[in-house]
Amino acid sequence: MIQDSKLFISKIEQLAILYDDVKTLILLNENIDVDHKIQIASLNELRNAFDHLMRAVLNPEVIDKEIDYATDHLCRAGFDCYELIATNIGKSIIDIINEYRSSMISSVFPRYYQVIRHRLFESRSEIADIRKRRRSNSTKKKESFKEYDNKIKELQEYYKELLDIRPDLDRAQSKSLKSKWLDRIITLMIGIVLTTLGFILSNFI
Amino acid sequence: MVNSYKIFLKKYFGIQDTMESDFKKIDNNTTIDDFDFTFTRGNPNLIKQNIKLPSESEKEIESYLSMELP
Repeated sequence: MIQDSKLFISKIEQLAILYDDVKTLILLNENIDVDHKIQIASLNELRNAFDHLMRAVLNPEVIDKEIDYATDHLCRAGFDCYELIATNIGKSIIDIINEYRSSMISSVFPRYYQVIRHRLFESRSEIADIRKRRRSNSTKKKESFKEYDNKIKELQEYYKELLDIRPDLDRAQSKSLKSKWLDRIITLMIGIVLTTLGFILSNFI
Repeated sequence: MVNSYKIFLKKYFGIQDTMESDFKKIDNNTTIDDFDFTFTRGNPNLIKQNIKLPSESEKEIESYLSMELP
């Protein structure tokens, strides 16, 4: 068992900061998930990290190695969450956009086609790239963490922007529906008038 | 959801099984039948419904990455 508790605490301080970040991501992911499901992959990584922490207590001679392993597992838990958060925000943006006609989006929210759509496309490639790199290069895990964080923040900004503009999109959609119905009624009335006129002309004149 | 979350944590972070855990236990091939809910409190079916397996998460990510943008 560990003899110097001060040394142990100093060793796990960084781990505690990382854990706090990962825990926030796990909770955010659960809140953002459409089905509000618990994601097992990241919880399993936390469990594995806990295993290494306990091993470090029981085997102080390998404390550095065990804490490195625990850090790796925490990073993986974070990656899993980041990927699902990005996926959920991206899907939410696409779902909202799909509710409106492209002509309406172009007129009410032109930024979608000018900037956001392009950035969504790029960010997916970037996420796929980080996924690929983080699996092949274990030494740069913490750097990938920052890259993911930037992507999430960017996607969150777009999502917020879309939510802010949504009432305008709804108003435009409702206005367009009203005008469509009005057009149909006018066309129908003209049709009735013309048919009646035709009937009168053919039968009485 | 909160309840099943706590039950899951209790079951899978339990000290008695932690030190001997198999690191490959939960992976993309894990199915819901791999979990033992015998001693969990509450309705096991409800808990199962609230769990997202690693394979499901992977599929979601892959489907988003290949989704056509409107």
